[in-house]
Amino acid sequence: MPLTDSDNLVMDSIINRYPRSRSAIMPLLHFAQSKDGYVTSESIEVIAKKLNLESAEVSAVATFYTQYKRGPVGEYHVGVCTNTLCAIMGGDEIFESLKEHLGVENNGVTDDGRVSIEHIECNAACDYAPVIMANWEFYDNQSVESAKDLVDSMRQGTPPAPTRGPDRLPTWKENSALLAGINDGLANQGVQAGEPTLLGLKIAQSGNKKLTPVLTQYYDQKDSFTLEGYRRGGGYKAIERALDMSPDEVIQTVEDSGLRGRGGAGFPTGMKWGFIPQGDNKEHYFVVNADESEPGTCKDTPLMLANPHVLIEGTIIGSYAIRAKHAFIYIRGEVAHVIRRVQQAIEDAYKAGLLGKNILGKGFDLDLVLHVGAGAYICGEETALLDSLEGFRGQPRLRPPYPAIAGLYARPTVVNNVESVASVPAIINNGAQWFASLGTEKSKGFTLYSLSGHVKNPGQFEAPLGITLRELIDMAGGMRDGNKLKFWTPGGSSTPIFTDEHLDIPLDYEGVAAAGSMLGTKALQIFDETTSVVRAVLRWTEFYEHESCGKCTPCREGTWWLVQILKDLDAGKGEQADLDKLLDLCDNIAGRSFCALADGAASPIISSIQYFRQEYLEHLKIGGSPFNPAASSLLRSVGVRV
Amino acid sequence: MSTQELAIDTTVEMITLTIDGFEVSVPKGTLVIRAAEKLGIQIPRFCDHPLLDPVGACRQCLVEIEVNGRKFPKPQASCTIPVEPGMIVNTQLTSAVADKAQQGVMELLLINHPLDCAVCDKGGECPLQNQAMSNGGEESRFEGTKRTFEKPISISSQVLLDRERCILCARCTRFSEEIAGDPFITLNERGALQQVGIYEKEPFESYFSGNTVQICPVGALTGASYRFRARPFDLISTPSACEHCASGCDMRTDVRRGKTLRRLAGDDASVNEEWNCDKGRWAFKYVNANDRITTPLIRDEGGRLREASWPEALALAAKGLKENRSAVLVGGRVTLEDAYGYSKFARVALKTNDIDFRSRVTSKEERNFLASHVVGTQINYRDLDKADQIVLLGFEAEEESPIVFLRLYKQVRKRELKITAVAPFASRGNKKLKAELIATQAGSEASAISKISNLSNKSVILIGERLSESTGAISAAVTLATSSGAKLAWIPRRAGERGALEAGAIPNLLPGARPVSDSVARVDLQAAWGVSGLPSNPGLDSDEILKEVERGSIRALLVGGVDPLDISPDYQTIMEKAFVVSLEIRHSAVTQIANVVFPVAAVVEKSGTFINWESRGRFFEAAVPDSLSRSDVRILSMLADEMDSSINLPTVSSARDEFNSLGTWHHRESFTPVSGISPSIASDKANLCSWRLLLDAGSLQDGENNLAGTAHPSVAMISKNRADALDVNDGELIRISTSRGQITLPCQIDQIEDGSVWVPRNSANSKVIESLGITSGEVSVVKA
Repeated sequence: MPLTDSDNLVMDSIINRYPRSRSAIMPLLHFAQSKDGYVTSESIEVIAKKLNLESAEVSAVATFYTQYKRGPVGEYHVGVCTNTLCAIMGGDEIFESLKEHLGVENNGVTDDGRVSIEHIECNAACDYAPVIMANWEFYDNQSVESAKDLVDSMRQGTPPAPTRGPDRLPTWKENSALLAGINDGLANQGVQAGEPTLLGLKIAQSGNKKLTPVLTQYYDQKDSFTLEGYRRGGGYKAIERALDMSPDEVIQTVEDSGLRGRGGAGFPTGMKWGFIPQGDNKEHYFVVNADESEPGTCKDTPLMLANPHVLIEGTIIGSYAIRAKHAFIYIRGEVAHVIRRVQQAIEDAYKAGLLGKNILGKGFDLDLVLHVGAGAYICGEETALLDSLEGFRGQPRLRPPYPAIAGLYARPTVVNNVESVASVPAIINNGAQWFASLGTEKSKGFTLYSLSGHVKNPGQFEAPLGITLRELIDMAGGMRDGNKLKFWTPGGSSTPIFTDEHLDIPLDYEGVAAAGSMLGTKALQIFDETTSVVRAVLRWTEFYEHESCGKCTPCREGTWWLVQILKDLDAGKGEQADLDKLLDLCDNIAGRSFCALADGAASPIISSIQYFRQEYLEHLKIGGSPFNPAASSLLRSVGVRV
Repeated sequence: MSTQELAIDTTVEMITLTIDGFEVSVPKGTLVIRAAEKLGIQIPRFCDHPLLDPVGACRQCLVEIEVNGRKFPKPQASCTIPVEPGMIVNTQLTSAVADKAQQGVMELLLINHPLDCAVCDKGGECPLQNQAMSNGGEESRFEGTKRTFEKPISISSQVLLDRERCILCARCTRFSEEIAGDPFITLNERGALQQVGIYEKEPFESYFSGNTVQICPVGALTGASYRFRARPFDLISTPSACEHCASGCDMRTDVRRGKTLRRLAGDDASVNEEWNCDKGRWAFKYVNANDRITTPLIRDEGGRLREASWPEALALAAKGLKENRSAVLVGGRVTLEDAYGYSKFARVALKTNDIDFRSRVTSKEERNFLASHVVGTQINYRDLDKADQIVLLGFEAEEESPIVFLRLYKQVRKRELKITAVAPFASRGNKKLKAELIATQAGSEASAISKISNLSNKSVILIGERLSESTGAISAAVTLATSSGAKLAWIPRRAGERGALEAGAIPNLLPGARPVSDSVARVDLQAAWGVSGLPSNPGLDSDEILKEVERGSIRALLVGGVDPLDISPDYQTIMEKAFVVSLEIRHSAVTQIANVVFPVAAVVEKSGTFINWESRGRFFEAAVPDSLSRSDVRILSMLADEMDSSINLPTVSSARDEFNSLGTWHHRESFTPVSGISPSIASDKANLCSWRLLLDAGSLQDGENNLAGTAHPSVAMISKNRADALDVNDGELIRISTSRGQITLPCQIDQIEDGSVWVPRNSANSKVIESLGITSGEVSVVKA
C-alpha cells in the first residue's frame, strides 16, 4: 500500500474518530482493502506503525474477521448465502451452479479478475431468501438463472443495480472505502424498503388490528430514511422532550415502560441504564449493537435501511440518560447500503445540530461514531463487540466486570440492541404507560417479528408481544403450496426449535420460555414438511463451527466434532448410539463454554433430536437422506423470482 | 494479585469457604482454584497460571459453586472466580457434574491433539498427559478427522511451534503481552483454525521467549536446542542460580550424564517469580566449549603453554606472586565465596589492597559511592513494587537486568507506575515502560539528574554501573536521593559484582563493609583472621593497576575471570610486562599471555552463592555431579599455602561460613561529591554513547547459535538531522571513528538526541573499547 499524502490524511482522520487509536484497526483494514483489494502484508505494517502496535497484533486482528481478504478478490465479490434458510430455499443450488458456471471453487476468482465467489453466512435478509450479496449489496430473491445472469453481467462490466441499494453496483474497492467510513454520497439512492419489509405495515393499513406499526409506521414513505422524511412523521420530537427531562427521569420512564432488550436476552433496558454509576467522573459510553447476524434474524437491518434516524434519536436519548458523551453504533460489515444510510443519517444529524456540541441548545454534547464490523457473528456478543470496537480480536471477555462497570475502554458502558434503542423515542413521545399497555404482563410493548421460509409471503410484522405464530402465518398468507408446517425457530437458530405443536404459544419472553425455547430475536424461520431437519441442523452447526471465536475448548473443539458427526448422520452413516453420543456431547458443550455461542450450537441439535429422533434414525436406516432437497427449494416450487 | 502477593500483604481480609466439605480461609481476592490448592485439592487446568490474568479459556477447571444458598446453574471455571464468604465449592472429587464436565472438556481437548507423546519433548512432564490420565476418560469417542498443520514452524531461531499439539490455552501469547510486553506472538485465525503465530516477517525475538516454552502445558512450543535431546526422566535436576546478571534468578539446571541439557527458570516469588530471560535459560554451552582448560598450564621457555602438574604450577605461581609487587583483578562473575577468597588472598598473601572486581570503566567517585551507599544495604524488588516513581540512571533495565525490567513492566501495566529515564534516547525497553525520557548526552548526566524533582521517600533511584562513566553523575544522584528521601539502589550488570563488593574485592573495602581507612575495622578483621597486620592504604582501581603494570611498579597479576578488553584496549602490551597468574575456565586473552593458568569450575560444576543487586544471596550446589573442576577459592587457598601465607579456605563452605561469621561493619565511609563536567564535543563530531545489549558477543553466550539468532542486529543510531547532514538513509552504512580505530555499521535513524551517536558496546562488528578505545566521548561520524 504505497501511501499518498491524501491516504495519510484519511488514515489520520479515521484514527481521530476514536478516543483511543487502536480502535481504528478495523476501519484502517477496510481502508487498506479499498487501496489494494485485500489486506497485504505491507498494509499490516503501515497500520501497525500508524497505531504504534506490533505487526503481529494487527495481523491477529485481520485474520479473525472473514471480510478481510488474504489475496485478491474480484472487482465484484459475490457472496451466496448458504446458511440454513437460504440454503434450503435454493442457496445451495445457486452456489453450486455459480461455481460450475464460473469454473471456480469457493473463494475463487475468475481469470479476468472480475468476479469472485464465496459462500456466506446469514446476511439478515431471510425474508428475501435466497439472497446474494455482491460487494455487500443486496440481490434479493435470487434464482439459479438470475444469479448466472448477474455474474455474466459483472464479467461484462455492466452489473444491474442491487435490489435494495444504490443505482449502480460499486466495485469491491469502492465499497471497502465505504466500510472504512468514507461516505460515497449514494445513501439517497435506491428503495427505502422491499416488499417483505412493508408486508406487515400494508396489512395493518388494510385494517388488521393485531399489528401495531410504530417503528415501521413510515416505512412506506419513499424518503423514510432521510432527515426530512423522519421529521415529517414526528421524528426528533422525543429528544426535545428527553433533553428537558433529567437523565434519571428518562431512565425511569424507560424502566416504567417495561421495555426489555430486543437483541435476544430480554433484559430490562431501563434497569441496564440504571446500572451505570453516576457522578463517578469517568467517561461513559453508549454502544448500539447493530451486528445483526443470528441466523434468521432480519429485523434491525431493514429498520436501519428504512428508518436510520429513529436509531439515532434513540441513541441520543440513551446517551443523555446514562451521561455518555460518546456513542458508537457497531454495525456488521456485510450490509453496505445500510451502512451508507446510517452514515448519512449521522452526518445529517450533525448538520442539523442533533449531534455534536450543545444539542438543540440544551447543553448536551454527544459524538456518535459508526463502527463497521468485518464478518464475525461472535461480535454480537456484547463483550466481544467491545473488544472488537477497541481494536482486538472479537472474543468475549471475562465477566465480571460487566460492561456497566468496565465496558468500552474499561469505562461504564451500555450496550443495547438496535430495536431496543429505536423503541425509546416512541416511549418518550407517548409515555411509559402507553408502551406498557401493549403486550403481555411481563413482556410489554410492541416488537418486530420476522417471518421467513416456507410461508407464502415472508416479511416483517410489528405487533405487541404475545402474538402467536398461527396468527402471523395467517397474515403471511399461510404456508407455501398449502404444505404442512414441520419445524420453526422462535428467535433465530440458537433458540431450540418448535414444531406445529407450538403454533399457539404466545410469542413473548415467558410464553416461549415455558415451552422450552427462547423468544430470542423473534426470527421465525418456518420450514415445511419437505425439509430435512438433519440437513437444517447440520447447516446451522456448520455455521457455529465457522463462527466459533476459538477462545474456549468446548465451543472450538465441540463444534468441530459436532459437524463431523452430523455430516455422517445426514449421509446416513453411523448407528443409533451416535445419537446418544451426539446428545452427550451437547451436554459437554452447552453450559460449559465461555459464552452462549456454544449453547446456541447445541440448541438445534438437542431440540431436533427431541422432536425428530425418528427422522435421524430413518437416515441411518436407509443410509442417506429420505428428503429431496429440490422439494424444499423455493426455486422449483415458485420458479424464477426477480 | 497473585496468591503469593496477597500472602505477603498482611493487612488483607481473610475469607472462609468450603471446598469438598473442608473449610479453608484464604485472602480476599484468591481464586477458587488456588483456595483448593491450599487444601491439597488439585483441580485440573491449562490456561490458568498464577502470574497471568485469569482468562477462563480452556474450561478444564469447571466446578460447581454455591453462594448464599444459590447454586450457579452451570459449572464455573474455578480459575476465574474469586472466593466469597460461605461459598460452597464442589470439585470433581465431590460433584458428578463437575467431574463429567471436566472429562468432557478433556475429551474435547484431545480430539485434535496428535497424542504423539512418545516423540514429544514434553512427554513425561506434560500437564496435558498427566491430567488426561488423572481427570480424563479412558477412551476417546472421537472417530473423525483430526486437524493437522505443517510441523514444526520456527517462530524464532530458538523456538519451534508444533501447532497440532497446541490446545490454545494462550498462556504463551498472554505471557508475551502481559509479562514481557512483546506481543510478537498472537492468536491468529479463529474457531477451530485458531492458532498461535508470529507476523510472517517478524520472528518471536523477545528476550523472554523461553518462558513460553516453559509454561506451555503441552509440547507445542519447544526450544530448538533441547528438542529431541532428552527425556525428562533421564535428567538430574538441581536448583541453581543464574550467573548471567545481577537480577538474581532462581534457576533449575537439568543434567544428563554430566552434561547440562537445559536450564529452566526457578520459582522465587520475591525475585524472578517464575520467569527468566533467554540468556539465563539458553546460554550455558560455553561450559562445554572446545577451549575448556582442564589442567594447570605453565608457559615454557619457548613461550608456549604446556600442561603441568598442580604442584609444579602452584610452586611457579607462588614464586612469581611472592617475589613481585602483585595486584588482583577479580572480574565480576565470581561467586561470593570465590570473591572472598580473592579478597583475603590479596590482603593476607599479597599484603595489598590493590584488588578490584570492577573490570570496566570505573571511578573513585563510584568506589566511594559503593562503600558509602551500597555495601551492606538492602533494597529489594518489593520496594520497586511499592514505589511511587522509579528513576533509571545509566541503566537500561531490559538489556542490563531483564528481571528488574519485568518487575517494572508489571507495575507499569498494573498501576501505571511512573518511570523516568536519563538516557540519550528512548530505548525499546523504556518505551515499553512508558518511561518519561530526559534526553541526555553521555557525560552530561549530572546536570540532567540535578533537574529531576517531585521524588518522594517512596521513590527509587536505580543506578546502573555505567553511571560511573559520567563524572559527577553518581554524586548528583546521591544529592537527589538525599534531598527527596528517595531510595538509591545500584544495579551492576554482572552476577558477581555485588557479592565481590560485600566480600571486599575492591581497593577501599575489606570484607563485610569494613572501610580500609577505618583502623578499628582493620583491627577487627585482623583479629578475626588471626593475622598480625593488614595493609592500611586504600588500593588501586583496576585501570590504575594496569597503569602501574605499564609503569613497571606492579610486576605480577593474579587475574580471575576478566576480559581485559573491558578495561583497556592496550591490555596485551601492558600485561605482557607482568607475571600473570590466571584462573580461568576457558582460554582467553589473559591465558594467551599468562605465565601460569589454573583451570577452575564453571558455575554448574561448583557450589557457591551469588548476591544479586538487592543484596539477596542465592546459594547453589553443583549441578554437574562429580566434576573434577575446582572453585577459585580452593585454588587460592592452595596457592596461599604454597606462599606460606595461609588463608585457610580449603572449601567453598568454609569460605562462606567464615565470611558470614564476620558480620557487617556498622560504620560507612563518608561520601564526597564530585562535580559534573559536561563534555565538550567539536561541532563536526559526535558524542559516543553505548551499552551492552542483553544478547551480544559476551563470552558466556558462546556456542549457542540458536540464542544468538535472536540477538538484535548491530546498528548505529543517529538522529534525522545528522542523517540529513551525512546524506544517509536508514540502513546505509556509517563509520564511527577515533584516532584508535573505527566501527562501521548500518545506521538507524531514530529519535536520538542530535549530538549523539549510539552503538552497541560489545556486539558483532561493534566492539567499542577494542575499536575506539573509549566508551563515550568525541567520535567522528561519516558516511561509509
